[in-house]
Amino acid sequence: MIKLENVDKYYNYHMDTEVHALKNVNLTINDGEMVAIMGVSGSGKSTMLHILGCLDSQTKGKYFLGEYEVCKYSSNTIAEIRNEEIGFVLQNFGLLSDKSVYENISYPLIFNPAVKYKMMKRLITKAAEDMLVSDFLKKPVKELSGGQKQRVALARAIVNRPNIILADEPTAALDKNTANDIMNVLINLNKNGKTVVIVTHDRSVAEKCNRIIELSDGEIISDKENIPA
Amino acid sequence: MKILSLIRSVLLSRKRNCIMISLCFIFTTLLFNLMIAISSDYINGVNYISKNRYDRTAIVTHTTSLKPLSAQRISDELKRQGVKCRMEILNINSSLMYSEQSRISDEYIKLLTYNLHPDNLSLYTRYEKDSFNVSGYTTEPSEYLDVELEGEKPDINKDYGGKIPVIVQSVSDKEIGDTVKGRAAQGKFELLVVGKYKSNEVWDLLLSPGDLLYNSSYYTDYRILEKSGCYTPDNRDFTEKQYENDDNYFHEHFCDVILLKTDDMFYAEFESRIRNTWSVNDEKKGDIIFGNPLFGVDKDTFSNDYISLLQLFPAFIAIAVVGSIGIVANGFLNAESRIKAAAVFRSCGANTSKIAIINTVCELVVMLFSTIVSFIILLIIKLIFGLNIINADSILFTALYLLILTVLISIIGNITLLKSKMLDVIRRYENQ
Repeated sequence: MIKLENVDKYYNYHMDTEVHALKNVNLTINDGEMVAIMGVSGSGKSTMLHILGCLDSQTKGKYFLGEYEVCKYSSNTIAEIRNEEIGFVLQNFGLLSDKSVYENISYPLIFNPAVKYKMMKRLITKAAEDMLVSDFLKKPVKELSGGQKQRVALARAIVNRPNIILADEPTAALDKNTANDIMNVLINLNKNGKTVVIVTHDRSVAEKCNRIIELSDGEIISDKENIPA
Repeated sequence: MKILSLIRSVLLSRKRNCIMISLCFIFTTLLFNLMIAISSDYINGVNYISKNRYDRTAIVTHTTSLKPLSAQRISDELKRQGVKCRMEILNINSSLMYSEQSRISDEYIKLLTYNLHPDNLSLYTRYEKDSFNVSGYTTEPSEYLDVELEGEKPDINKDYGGKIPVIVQSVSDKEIGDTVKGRAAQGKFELLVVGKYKSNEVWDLLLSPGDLLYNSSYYTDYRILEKSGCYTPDNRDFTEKQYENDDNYFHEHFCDVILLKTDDMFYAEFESRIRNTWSVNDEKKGDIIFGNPLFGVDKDTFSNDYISLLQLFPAFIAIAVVGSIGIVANGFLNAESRIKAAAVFRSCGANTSKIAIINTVCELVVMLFSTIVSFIILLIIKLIFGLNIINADSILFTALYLLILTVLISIIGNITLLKSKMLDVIRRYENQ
């Protein structure tokens, strides 16, 4: 379960250039939900995702990730939590383009102490097969198409078998057909029990989720259940 | 193992960066080595001359004569030339000895000596290989110059069991107590090493190498040498310098002389007076001839020899500085890709210390690789060109330089990585 309690986020806090990015946000996302966070540019949706992904911390309020109250832990523990609990998918894939698909998928496993070196190959191959990129394992990422890159990013996100997948505009850089493919992958992941949180400004992407949260000027202005078409 | 595989992966992606840094590094290291190697000779030389009590006082020349030389004869000749100074003879004469008796008979030695001519190189080579010199001195060099002696000086009153006590050069492979068998003049002789010079430096700095006793293999008191029968001034057959022209077959005696300059006479004056005897007709005048005077090196003269080096110093330093800045700048230029990689690793769960370790190890590997390559290149240059561009000082200095640079780059790299906000990097990523 993900829970935000009275969360505020300021950039340049107490400075002339202070920005109040999130305002008293209260939000609970249950395990197995597929949630879309929508809003225009500057509404605070990416900020929220980064807080949810432990990439950033709130200025005020509390953030619970399962049993953890995140702000109470050291950065090393937060890194471990991020490694074990969260898989990231970024708009521009967040891959190292000169490295091979295999290497890019391997990174979360390298930083997971529970995974032994010998186990890595099997886990990477399995994740690549699930995301249909097993034929390109030795190829450098820069030689792949946009859709293939996003599949590699998804493979990397799931290779550590996290409970939560956070996707920041996962289809923004893709054409319509490829975007549909990627959304189907995310839907399947959700059906397999993963909690999926997608930040998007694309209504058609949000419509495929079970719940749509709309943000405006750092505040939640609507939080509705949705039945995907 | 996993971290190692990641380090390997990161290093492979930094190939170009590695090559660039290596080139910069090798270039700088080579220049440092060259600069240190040359300048350390200079600094050592200046230090030696500064503390040497013979600074500006000693002039060395060599004398030759068709008649046996003695200190009195040389002194008389100097007086006749108008050179007023105190004079000491360093070596009175030298005896050529042969160690491989089974292969070289006296007749063969005569033949070789007779045929000693630059055109007859094979004979010359054989002749050199199988022979060595024992030089007799009137005054042992360490009494004159600051050359420390290990062991003892040959003592004319001491019984060495029929052996000839000798001193060897610092570079000799013989040690105190070693014996050397040889044959010369009327028979077989055995040398006993009783002393060894501790430093060879004085010959390089104060006197001209190749002259004085530098050429000799063994040194002893000239009275011991003469008493032994190994060398007699009248023995023509087994001394080193003998010549034959159309009319005469003659032997030339020679010795080296140190002249201690008096306060009222300049080097030029010494030289001009000695020079007067250079072109005398040996047979007609038949007396002592002074060779080219070799001056003791003073600090100013020594500095002149290194003037070109001194002029190049700013260039050396400038290039080294530019090279060093290049290395650091290269690190900065590649910071973006390193930060990008670190952001990806962080988003995948890497903590700060792991990223710092990966970065530091990568920097160290690059530096180590560059260091090894640069030393290999130095060795190759040394082998191919015979240039002595690696010495202990330069290696120490380079090692220190490498250490400082590595630490600097590593610190800068880690600060850059850890200070960079992962979120900003990820945002930049997303906006590319």
